Amino acid sequence: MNYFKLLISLILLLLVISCEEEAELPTAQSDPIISINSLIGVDSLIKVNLSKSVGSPVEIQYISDATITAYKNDKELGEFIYRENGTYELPEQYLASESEYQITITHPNFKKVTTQTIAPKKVLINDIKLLNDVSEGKTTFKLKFTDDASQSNYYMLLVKGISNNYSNVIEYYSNDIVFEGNLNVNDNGFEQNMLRGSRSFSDENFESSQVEISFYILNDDFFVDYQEYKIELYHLNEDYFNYERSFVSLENKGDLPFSNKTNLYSNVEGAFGIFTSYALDYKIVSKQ
Amino acid sequence: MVKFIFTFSLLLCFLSAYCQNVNLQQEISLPKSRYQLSELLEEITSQTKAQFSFTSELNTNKRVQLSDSVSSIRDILNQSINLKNFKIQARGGKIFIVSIPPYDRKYRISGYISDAKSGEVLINATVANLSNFTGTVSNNFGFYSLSLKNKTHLLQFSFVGYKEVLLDIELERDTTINISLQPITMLQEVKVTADERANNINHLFVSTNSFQAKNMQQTGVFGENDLFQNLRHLPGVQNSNEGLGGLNIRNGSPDQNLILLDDVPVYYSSHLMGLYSVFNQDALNQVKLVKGGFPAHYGGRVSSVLDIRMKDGNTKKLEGGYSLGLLTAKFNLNGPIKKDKTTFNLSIRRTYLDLLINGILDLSGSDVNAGYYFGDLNWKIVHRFSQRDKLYFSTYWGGDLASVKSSENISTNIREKVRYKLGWGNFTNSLRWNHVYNDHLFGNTTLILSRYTFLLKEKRSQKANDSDYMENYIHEFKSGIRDFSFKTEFDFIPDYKHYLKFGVEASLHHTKPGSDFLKNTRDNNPGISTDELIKSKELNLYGEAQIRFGKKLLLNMGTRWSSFIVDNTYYSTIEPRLNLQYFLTPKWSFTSSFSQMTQYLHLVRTSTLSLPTDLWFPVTRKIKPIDSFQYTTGTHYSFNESVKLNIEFYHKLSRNLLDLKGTSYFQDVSSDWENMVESGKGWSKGLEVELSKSLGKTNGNIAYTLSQSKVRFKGINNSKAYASPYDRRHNFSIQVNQFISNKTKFSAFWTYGTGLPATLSTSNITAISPYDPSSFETKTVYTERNSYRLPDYHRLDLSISFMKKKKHGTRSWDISIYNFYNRKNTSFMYVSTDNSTSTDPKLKKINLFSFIPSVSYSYKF
Repeated sequence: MNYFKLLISLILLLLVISCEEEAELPTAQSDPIISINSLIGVDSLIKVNLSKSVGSPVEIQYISDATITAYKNDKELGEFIYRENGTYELPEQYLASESEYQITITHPNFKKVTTQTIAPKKVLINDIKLLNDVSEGKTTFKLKFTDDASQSNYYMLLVKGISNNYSNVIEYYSNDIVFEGNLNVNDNGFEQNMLRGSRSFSDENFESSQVEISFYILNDDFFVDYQEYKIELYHLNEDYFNYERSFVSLENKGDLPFSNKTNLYSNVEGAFGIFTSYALDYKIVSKQ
Repeated sequence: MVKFIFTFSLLLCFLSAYCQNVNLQQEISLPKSRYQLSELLEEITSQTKAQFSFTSELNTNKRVQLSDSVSSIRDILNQSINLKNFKIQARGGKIFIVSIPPYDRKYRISGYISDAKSGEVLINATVANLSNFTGTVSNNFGFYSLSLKNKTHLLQFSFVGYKEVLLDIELERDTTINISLQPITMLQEVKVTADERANNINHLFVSTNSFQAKNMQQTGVFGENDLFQNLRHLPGVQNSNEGLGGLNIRNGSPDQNLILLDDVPVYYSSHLMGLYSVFNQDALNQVKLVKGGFPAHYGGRVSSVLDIRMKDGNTKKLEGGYSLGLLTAKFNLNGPIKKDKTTFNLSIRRTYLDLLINGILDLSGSDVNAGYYFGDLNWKIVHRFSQRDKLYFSTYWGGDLASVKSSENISTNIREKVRYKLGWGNFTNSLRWNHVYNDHLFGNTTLILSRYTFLLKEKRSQKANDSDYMENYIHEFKSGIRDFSFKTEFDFIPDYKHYLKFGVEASLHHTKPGSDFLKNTRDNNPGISTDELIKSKELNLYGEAQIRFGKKLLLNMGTRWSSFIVDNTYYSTIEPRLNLQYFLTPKWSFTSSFSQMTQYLHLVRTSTLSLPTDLWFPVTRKIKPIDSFQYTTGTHYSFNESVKLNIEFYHKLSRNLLDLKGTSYFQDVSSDWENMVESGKGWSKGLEVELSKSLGKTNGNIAYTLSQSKVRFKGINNSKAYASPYDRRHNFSIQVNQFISNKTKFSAFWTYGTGLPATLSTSNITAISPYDPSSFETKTVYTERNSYRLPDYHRLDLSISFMKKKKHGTRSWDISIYNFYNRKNTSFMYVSTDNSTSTDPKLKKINLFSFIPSVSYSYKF
């Protein structure tokens, strides 16, 4: 959809006779609020990062003296231990799929907050095929997996380029309907604009439980000569899906004038941040 | 038990006595349809054994024509005897036809009140009986009806800005008199000839402002005399974002205003994203804004009603005019097609910004052709079949169109032409039939079609070398709403103390959230087309009675029953309405009101602007209708016919308002909108003060509003209440119009308002990357909704008009300056995280419309 361009042109027409002024930012009107960051993979060590909201973007203030208690399926797992840079770990505890985890954070300067997540089950990649079309300058991947149709599922697909034992998340594109146009290579229309670049998708557009997704990378996009590609299929819970989408939309929205204000998604009441989980399966394919 | 037996016996006695009376409801069969009255009475006697007793005043020789062969005795007598002069009573076995004493006989005077020059009807004109200071007012079609006793009366017909007409009249029968009032020029001094007790008879002042469109004085940006700009000098009416956000009335959102153009709801009332209203002054006759104390015949929105009536057209002569301004060109022609029978009114307005831009682009040899314009066409035709029947057909078409055409070489031998079109607009039609059933009963039946459409078209075509262009890609997107309505309502005026209004209204709403058509001829696939239509039905029944108790108390009470069906979901509401006005003295009155309103359509907005992409959605099972409960109380003082002081307090509670969830954004409003919004409550209160002078060389008004408005939504802002987006604490405006001479008029308008609420992302948090849990970024977020305020708003507008009489009409040069002292009013502010110049985030303010001078030329003939 390109009507956004025209609407923006009209707004710009108005703005021609307008002007923009710069002023000092007013100080934040509320006390600092605790911010929780935790995206935990199944079979990974359970970690939480704590910081607090601040007025200036350059001064991150980590919280090192909070008490975090973890529960698994309503049974206490123990207290987290502080490591460094706001990160707390639950020693010897690895996230088990299909289990419910809850954490409670207490701190003398903040009100007590509680949040939880249910770890999803790993969804296996059944097959991945790669086709390098030199004439079009793109490498196409076809990924197959099985979706559990009995429940709502959320996924995320990442492509990493591997070179000299170093991997890096790389851009990919797709016209597949599951991405709802968010990864179209040249489309910057209004509908896609806010979620442009989002790599998450839901099972809403799946035609059957046997899913095949086609996506591609442009060979000229990279300065590094990647020898292998790592295709990661994340099975997400709904909180992760919402968080990824709000993260992307906040980035895309930027300073768009007259837009409705939105915030980063949070599943923690009375605080900022996210405490959620995923299960990952991946395949490595060599460059052709 | 004893009490029961006693009561029962009494009842039986009463019934037996009643049974012995002639039953006037008894039906009899008459062999003929024409009788002499004496012959008819004998026929009734022969069939029923009832004896007639009457005075010699009854003319028994008169011929009587009956409509039905079988009828009740009462119906037969009602058809045969003038009930103005005789009463019919049954007692025992006799029917008495009793003469009413001449001084007790009542006759009715009725007719239409209009402007003597143009023939346009005058709405809310006063008819006062100066002998006892009773009276009535003309309705929305200029019709009035008043019953008077059989004696000489001095009647006064008056309307603000017109010379009153005094009529010495002695009624001997029901009489129809059409009255024409002569307009007075502003330069004429106000003469109050009649007793002040004749003023304001049966006028309810509760939260209502009315004015004639010809008196609109307030020019807006680029000198356009805009209706919404003129409304903004009234108390309780404010604008947000320098006019880009539509009208906010008593802290309500723009979609909560019911805007009626000749009874047709207008869904998108702005051009140029809310900068101008769609209403062309040339086409309008009368405007009424109701902010509270809503009569029962209005409903469907919760904040206000803007009832706009288009001009019928001059009944006497052909007249018109044209004007050329910096932004728009206008043309109007109206007059009689058949004198005193059929009139028409045609008004056209168009901007020509696109022509200028394209001219410049052509001169520069650009391959791009771009433009934007808006246009309006108002057409109305009125035919009077008789004194009792009138037919009105009104049409409004208006729209905005933006287009971009470009062509470029996409390879060495292929050239591609791309054409985008983006348009939106209203198309409204109403066919109304007025019928005066009798002198007590006035009816209006209306058929309505209202359509709002948003349309996008994209076409691509290519050609190779010297061949012709071949179309290879088409994309069309359409959304909007379409209403089909039937409405019939009646004004029943039994006497000067009672004015009843009742009616029924049925509507079909067809909402199209979005239909897509995509065709790419290159891939040989058939076109992809998606379409969705939501059908909903609305039925309203209403009745209201305006009752006058003595000379002090005027009461309007009524009820509206509204119901709505969509997708097997049914809602129904009883909406009580009550208005009271107590006249302490003829000049000084106190008012009070309560009204409940229900709104079944929600406008889902994609931004803080009034954008054409905003979509109307009917209620769903999850999203309930908005209910509002408004209480008002106030006082009104008329220093004279021209100078008035109004003070009013209001308190409004609203349920099921919508706001966007904290993390939601509208990517595509047509899908999943229910899950992106939260329902909540809102409450507003305010004090409005208005001092106005409507006549004389110097006129104008001063308005001040003190208000507070809050909302609370579960899950938004930690479920705490916060300021609504339309919470402006103080709003003040002053407008002065000065006639310097017959030829020169000067106007000044100054407005001041405290800042509107704003949400600023002033806090920074660390946020984990969804693609790499070991990586963190800083994101700016807001901690509370609407916790900041935009800077205070104020500006001064000046305008001067130079008029001159020419051979065939009057020409006028209008020079105006918008925002005379170049105040930079902030319409939007945000925190910029652009780190190219500084590491610290900055507050950016967007200021629209600084000093804008304009000039226009107009000619009226």
